[in-house]
Amino acid sequence: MNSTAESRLYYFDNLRAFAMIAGVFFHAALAYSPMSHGIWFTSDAEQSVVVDWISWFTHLFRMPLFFVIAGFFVAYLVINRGMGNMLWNRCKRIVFPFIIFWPLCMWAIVAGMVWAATHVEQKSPLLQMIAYAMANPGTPPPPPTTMHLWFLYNLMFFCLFTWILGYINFNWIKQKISQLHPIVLLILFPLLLTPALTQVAAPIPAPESFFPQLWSFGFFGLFFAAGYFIYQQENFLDKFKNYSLFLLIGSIGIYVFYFSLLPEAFSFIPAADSFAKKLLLGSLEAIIACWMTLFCVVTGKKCLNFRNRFLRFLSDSSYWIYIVHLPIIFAVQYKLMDSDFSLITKYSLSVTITLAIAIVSYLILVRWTPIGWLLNGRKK
Amino acid sequence: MSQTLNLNIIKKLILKDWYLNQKIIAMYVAGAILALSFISLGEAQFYMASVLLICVLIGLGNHQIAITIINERKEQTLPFIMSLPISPLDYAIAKLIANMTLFLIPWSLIVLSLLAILITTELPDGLIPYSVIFCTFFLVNYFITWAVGMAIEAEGVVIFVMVFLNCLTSPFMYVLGKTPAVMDNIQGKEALWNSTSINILTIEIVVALLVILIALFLQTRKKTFL
Repeated sequence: MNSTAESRLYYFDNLRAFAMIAGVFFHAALAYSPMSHGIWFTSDAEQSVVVDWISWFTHLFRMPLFFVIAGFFVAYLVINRGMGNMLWNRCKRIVFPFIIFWPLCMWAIVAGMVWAATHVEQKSPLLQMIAYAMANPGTPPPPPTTMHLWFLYNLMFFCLFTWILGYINFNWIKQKISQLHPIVLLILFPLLLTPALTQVAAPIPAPESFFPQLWSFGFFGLFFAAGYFIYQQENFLDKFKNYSLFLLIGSIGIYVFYFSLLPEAFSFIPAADSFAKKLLLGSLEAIIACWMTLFCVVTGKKCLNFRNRFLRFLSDSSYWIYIVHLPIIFAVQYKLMDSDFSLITKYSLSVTITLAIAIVSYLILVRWTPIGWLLNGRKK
Repeated sequence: MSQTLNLNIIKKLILKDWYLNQKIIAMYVAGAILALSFISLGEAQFYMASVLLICVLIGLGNHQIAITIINERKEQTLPFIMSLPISPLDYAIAKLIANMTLFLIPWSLIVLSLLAILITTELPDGLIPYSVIFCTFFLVNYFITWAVGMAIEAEGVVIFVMVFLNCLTSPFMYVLGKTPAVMDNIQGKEALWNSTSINILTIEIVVALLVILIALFLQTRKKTFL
């Protein structure tokens, strides 16, 4: 797989675009999720359990998939350009965008939130809390978080770990793993992920704190490491070709059971579950995350490994879309909260308007400008 | 005295030291990330992680001085450097920039992280002056060790200085703990920078700068490396 630097692996590019744009659909859906009603800014009066069923399923593997892809491309950079160049490249593509866009996104989200707290009639529980805090000055503000840009923040650490662990010879582990039977790997990898997930409440939260999160290293970090490994092992993914259907059906079956164990509503202070329940939920999440991520990668290799102008555009624009999508979604959904539209209409409108604004702004402000060079490199 | 610095060689010497220190920096960065990953989880974790961060600071400082100054002499790298067209001052400046960047960047990141933790968590902000003074103490220790290493270049002496300065950590904590002006507000909600705290910090910074200047001055007086 690392034989020719030029051979661009289109399915990883395409999968990355889908994983990032799936984030828009996911975050837009949270407004209509009964489970996240108490913890989301734009929670709408209209809700549907179908939203929960679909969105929390995708939530379990969307970001793991993204980290596999990130690990894959970091391995590509290390092997083809060296460790120093990888670090500099990631600095340009991850650290600088984070430093530039985090304050802007923070400002946009806070400004929207303040506007909504004073203008929206049918406030969500979270907006009501904010309106109350605004009316009673002196309430300490919550500590700043990395928000939806947490993946950039975590990626910085994973790239640092790549450098740190680069001094250790892992060849014997790689050899052992590559010799294992696929079924063993499908059991072993979720087992490795489970300890991290027992440390946090289900469903997998976003590690958005500025303090490094150990559980995130043990969960998303392992997916990143898996992506790194996959790049180095030619034909590794082919081992799982015949298991695609099993991975999909198995994951859906396990998800049905997992979903029945989730609380009816999430809160900022999760209920204190017993260790046994945490272990059960953590292992189910680990299995679904591992199997569905693998399913996406294997299916992507089979169905998305081609060059297409539209997909290429999607891939190029996905980074920008992801960075700006959340403030836009919030702004659109604040406006929709007092409207009488149906849930489907509100959801479709919030996704369509968000994508339209993000794509138009990409074309005007990013694609051929220094912002585009920063995010995707210069176009040749 | 007028000397022209050989900037090209200085740059190469700095890059050499950075290159030779990559591995240990990686190791200490891993330790710092580990400490930061559980430092915000509570008061007990804060103190445990703080100890780990202090160990990282001490280890990082001493380890890189051992690699860049002591080993250079022991492993006969210095005779090679002596063959280059550089003066002792060029050499000292290269060492100063290489070592200071290798230590000051991680030190600054650790201090900033500590401050961020104190400001954004339930931990009392009153700890800020104490923490800053304490972290600066390690900075001063590092500068003194570096200066002695540069001036004397003898392994035994440098090790003795390292051990001696590390032995001062507990007495320093004790003296600081018995200073009411620093300790009275330690559980306070806001950081209180009174004249005592500022004076201690100023003295630390002055001592740090002074030892660097003395080391550089001694280097300018050297005509040869021997």
